[in-house]
Amino acid sequence: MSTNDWTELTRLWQSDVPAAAPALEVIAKQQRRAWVWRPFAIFEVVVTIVGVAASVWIMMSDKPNGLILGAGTLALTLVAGGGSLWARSLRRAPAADVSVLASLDAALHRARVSVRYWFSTFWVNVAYFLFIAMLVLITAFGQPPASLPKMLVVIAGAAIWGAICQGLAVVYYQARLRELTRLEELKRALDESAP
Amino acid sequence: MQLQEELAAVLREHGALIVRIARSHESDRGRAEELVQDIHVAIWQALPKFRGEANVRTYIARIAQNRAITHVTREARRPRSAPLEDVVEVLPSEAAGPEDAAAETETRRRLQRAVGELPLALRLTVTLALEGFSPDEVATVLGISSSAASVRLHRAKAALMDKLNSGEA
Repeated sequence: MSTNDWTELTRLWQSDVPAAAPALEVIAKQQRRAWVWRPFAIFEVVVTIVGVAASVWIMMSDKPNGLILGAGTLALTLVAGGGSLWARSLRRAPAADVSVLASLDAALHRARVSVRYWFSTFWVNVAYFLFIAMLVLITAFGQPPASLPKMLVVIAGAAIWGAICQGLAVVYYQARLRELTRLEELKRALDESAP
Repeated sequence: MQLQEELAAVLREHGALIVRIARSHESDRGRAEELVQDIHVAIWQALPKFRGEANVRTYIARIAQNRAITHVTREARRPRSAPLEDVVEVLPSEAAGPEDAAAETETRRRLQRAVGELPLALRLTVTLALEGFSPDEVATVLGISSSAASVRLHRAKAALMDKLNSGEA
């Protein structure tokens, strides 16, 4: 390849494209969306506080099986809160202006956080199903026969909700896992092309 | 408002560079435009943190290449419903006659296609080389040493020329 060839290629490369107008509408939309992550985090904190308070209240109430139900609710709440905290503990703010390799490392890190988050969500849902199973047992053996159908409807609703959540968790987990695999391949490709 | 003016000024100066980087990673016109918009947003977010330590052009190229990598990863899971388009625009050529202009447009298309077909690691490097970045600047953008950047530039240029000469593109 001669210098002239390369000079001609760079001339051709740089001569064909007009600049695009600034994407001001997209930027405005981005500004509006910047707060979206906060409600999720606030929701999880509120749910954990409410869950702990409800567990204590159930345990201290004089309801039949109150102690078991309260302890189950407390365990479920702590597993959910702990799982979320464990997943988010890896998170750090990405910077747009770092080098390509550093950016790829940050993207890998974020993908690992997501994989971890959905993995933890999966096991939180498993804990939720165990809790539902415990409720079924308590309902079957401990409730007066008159309230049994009503309780079973509530439990069935909770189980369906749990199944939907678990389905979503599995789908998201697999998608994030595929993304992580792609990023690892990219990273390998960049490393392999290094002298 | 001041930030928008700064962004507009940066894009006036380096907007074409951004479009070329986006098009080297995305051969579908619509998706290339989406990528250009993503890069604009990233620059808008990064501008307040720019302290003038690096050359503005290097800074913009770094942001653009980073966003392009995110785009390439994300796009791999989006199905493509239509065949890939050539994103090269047919603009008035500087060549003398209509035949020369047509030949130049065709070479431009082949160049664009050849760049797009290179493996990502070489594509990142060759795009910067075609933009006229020095090995030191390529090293800054990619986050590797200058000597590594020189070797990689050599490989990337050779791979591009091979593709062009073999008529694959």
